Amino acid sequence: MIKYQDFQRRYPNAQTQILEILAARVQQGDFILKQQVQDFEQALAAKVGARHAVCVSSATSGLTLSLIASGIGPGDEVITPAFCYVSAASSIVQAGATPIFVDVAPHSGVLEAEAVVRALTPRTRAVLVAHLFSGLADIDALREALPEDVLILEDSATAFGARLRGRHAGTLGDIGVYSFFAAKPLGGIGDGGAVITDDDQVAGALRMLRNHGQDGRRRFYHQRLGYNSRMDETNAAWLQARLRENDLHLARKQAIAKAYDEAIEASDGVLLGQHRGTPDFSPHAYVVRSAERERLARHLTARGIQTRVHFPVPLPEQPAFVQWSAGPAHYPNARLLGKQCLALPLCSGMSDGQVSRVIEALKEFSHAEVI
Amino acid sequence: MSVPFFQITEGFTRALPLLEEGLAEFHRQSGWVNDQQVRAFEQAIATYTGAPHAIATGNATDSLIICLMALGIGPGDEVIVPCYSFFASVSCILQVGATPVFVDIEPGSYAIDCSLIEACITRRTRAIMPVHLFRQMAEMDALMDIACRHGLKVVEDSAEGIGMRWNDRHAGLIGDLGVLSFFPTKTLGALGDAGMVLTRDADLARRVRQILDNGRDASGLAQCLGYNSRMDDLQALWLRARLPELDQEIERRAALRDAYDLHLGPLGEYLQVPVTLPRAARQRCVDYVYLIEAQNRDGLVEHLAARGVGVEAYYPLPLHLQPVCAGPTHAEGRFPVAERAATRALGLPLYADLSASDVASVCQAITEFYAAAGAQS
Ligand SMILES: Cc1ncc(COP(=O)(O)O)c(C=O)c1O
Ligand SMILES: Cc1ncc(COP(=O)(O)O)c(C=O)c1O
Repeated sequence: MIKYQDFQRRYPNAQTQILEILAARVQQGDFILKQQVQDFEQALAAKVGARHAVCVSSATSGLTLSLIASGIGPGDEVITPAFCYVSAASSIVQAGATPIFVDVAPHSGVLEAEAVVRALTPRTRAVLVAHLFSGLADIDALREALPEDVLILEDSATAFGARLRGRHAGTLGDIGVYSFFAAKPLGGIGDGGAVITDDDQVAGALRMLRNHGQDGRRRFYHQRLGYNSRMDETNAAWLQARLRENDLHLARKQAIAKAYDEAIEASDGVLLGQHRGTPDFSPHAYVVRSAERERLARHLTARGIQTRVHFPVPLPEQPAFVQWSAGPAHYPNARLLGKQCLALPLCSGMSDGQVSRVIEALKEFSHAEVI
Repeated sequence: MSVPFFQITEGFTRALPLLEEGLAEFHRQSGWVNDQQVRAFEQAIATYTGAPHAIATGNATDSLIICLMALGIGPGDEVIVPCYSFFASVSCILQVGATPVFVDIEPGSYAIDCSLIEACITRRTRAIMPVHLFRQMAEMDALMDIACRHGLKVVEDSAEGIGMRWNDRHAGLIGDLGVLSFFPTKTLGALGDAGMVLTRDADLARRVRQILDNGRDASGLAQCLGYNSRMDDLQALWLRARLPELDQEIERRAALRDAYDLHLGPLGEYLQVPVTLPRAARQRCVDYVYLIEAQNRDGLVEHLAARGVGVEAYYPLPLHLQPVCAGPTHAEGRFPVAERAATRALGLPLYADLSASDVASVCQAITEFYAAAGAQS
C-alpha cells in the first residue's frame, strides 16, 4: 500500500526524537512560547529572509490574527479565492470582515491579478491570496495591479520552501502565513503556524494577540482582546530540526513531482497537471486533473495507491459562507477543479519503487482512455 | 534552596512506559492531530468524569468560546460571570460579541456569589458562567436553581476543575456545557496547550465538534463558522499516560495542603490559609492551587523570589479592571471582595512531586519574612 501520507517513512526516527524532545522540555520545565519558540522564530525568519516570524497555534489562527493585527474588521472587504481550504473564508469572518469570493484560474488553481482587480471596491482592505498544491500565485503581478493601500495576505500554509524569482513564498506580500500541520511541507508534531512580516508594529500586535493580549512583561494584565494561539516548545524544538533538513526533503519531493510530470505529459491530455508559476516549487500536493476523477481514484485505489480530493465544494457554496456568495455562476473554475482534481501520494520518504508504481498506474489509466 | 512553582520530572519518569507505548502507536498513525490518540484520550476522560460527551480541543480558552458559539450566544446577549478569574472567562464572552455582566465573588471559595446573581439578570441575559477556582466549586445548587427559574444556559468554566465533584457529578457536567484545561501546570497537565469540552447533550456535542474543526462536518463541508482548535495526538497520548495516576496525585496534593496548613497556622495574624465553605451538597474538592491571602503580598513575593521559591499571584487584577474591559460601570470599588483578593492572593508551589521538606522550606521562608516585618513594626 502506498499511503497518501506516510509519517513512518517520512520520519523513521520520530519515536526517539520525540522522546528526547519531551525529556528535555520536562527537564527544563518550559512548555509554551519560551526559548525553543524564540529560537525557531529566529531560524525561520533567517531562512526566508524576513524581519519577523511569529509562531501561532495554526495557520487558520495566523490568518485571523494577521487581519486583526492589521486593523481589518467590521465593514472591511477582503478578497479571497473561491477554491481553497475553509480558513481562507473563516479567518476573514472571524476577524469580523466581509469575504469577497473570486474565482481562480483553472490551470493553476490560484487567484490571478486580473480577476482580483475586477472585485475591488472602495471598501477592499486586503487580498488573501493562497498558493495551492505545488503552485505559486504571482504575487508580484498582484502587487503591481493593486492600489498601494490594499494589503496582500499571502496564505503560504502549504507553500513553505517555494520561491518566486528567488524570494520565498510567505515574504512576497505584506504578511505571509505558514502552516506546520503535520502533513505540510514543514511539518510539526501537531498543529502550528507562523506569521511572517517585516512590519514591526504588526509583529508586535501579533505577539500580544496570540497570548491573551499580554505584553510579555506584565502577567495577567490584558491590554487587548487576545486569544490563546500559542506554539508549544515541543513542537518548536521538533520544527527546528525539520527546518535544518528541509532542503533535502524538498529536493526529494521535487524529484518525485518531476517524475510524475512525465507520466502526465505522456497521457496525451487525458490527465492535466498544475501550472506551477515557478521552477522553484515546493510540492505540498501533486494534483492531477481528470474528467473522470472518480474512475481514476478507483483505478489507483485498486492498485494500492491512496489518493485524496481537496476542496470538492467551492467555499461560497458551503453552508457557512453562502451568504457571501455572488451566485453560483461566478465560480465555474472552482467547481470544475473541485470535480476534477485528485492528489497523488507525495512524501519525501517514498521509495523509487513506490514512485514507479504510481507512474505505471497513471500510464495504464491514460492508455486505456486513449485506446 | 530552590522550589520551582511547578515541575514534572518525576511524573515523567513514572509515565515513561505508557508514554513509549503511546509513541509507538502514534508513529504508525497516518494523522497526528485530532486523530486516534485523541479519540482514546476522550474516551478515557469520558470514563473518568462520567461525561457522555468529552470533546478534545486546542485549549480551554478556545473551549469556552466554542461553548458560547455552540449555544448561539452573540451580539446583544449578556452573560453573567464572576469578576475574579483568569482572563479567558471574560475574553470568550467578548470574542463572540456578547456583553459580560460581572458579579462579585464569595470570600473563601473565590467563586461567584450566587446571592448577587438575580439582581443582574435582564431581558438580554442568556447565560451564567460560574468559574471553579483553585480548590472548591461554585454553589451549583443555588446557581442551577436561578438558571432554571430564569431559563438561562449555564457554561461552567471548570478549566481548573478536573477531579472536582458536586454530589458525585464531575465539574463541568452540571450546567449545559463545561470545559477542562490541560495547561501544563493544571492538576492533569499536558506538555503544551490542550483542552476539552464536556457535555451531556448530544446535539451540543455535535456542534462543538464542528466548530473546533473550522466548522466542518464529517464530510469536510463547512456548516458553520469555526476555529482551528484541535488537540495534538502527542498531547493526548501523554495525558492518557498520566491519567491513571490522577487520583493518587490528588490525594498527594491534599496531604501537601495539610502540611502547608500546619506550618502556616501560626502566621494567622499575617496570612489566611485556604478555607472550605460548607455546602449542603456533597463536594469533592481538589487542591489545584494552594492559595493564601497575605499581608504585604508583593513584598512577600519579592522575598520568596530572592530565595528561589516560585509563586503566582492569582489574580492580580480583577476582570472588570482589565484594560480591555474598561468602562464607566466597571469602576474600582464596585466588587470589594474580588478587589481585596486581588491585592492579597498568592499561589504557593503545589504539585504531586513536591516533597514535605520543600513545603517546610517554603513555609520557613514565609515565616522569616513576617518575623522580620514584625520586628520592624
Ligand atoms: C491553503 C491552506 N490555507 C490554510 C490552511 C490552514 O492551516 P492550519 O491547518 O495550520 O490551520 C490550510 C490547511 O490545510 C491550507 O491548505
Ligand atoms: C479559570 C480558567 N479558565 C480558563 C483557562 C484557560 O485555559 P487554557 O490555558 O487551556 O486556555 C484557565 C487556565 O489558564 C483557567 O484557569
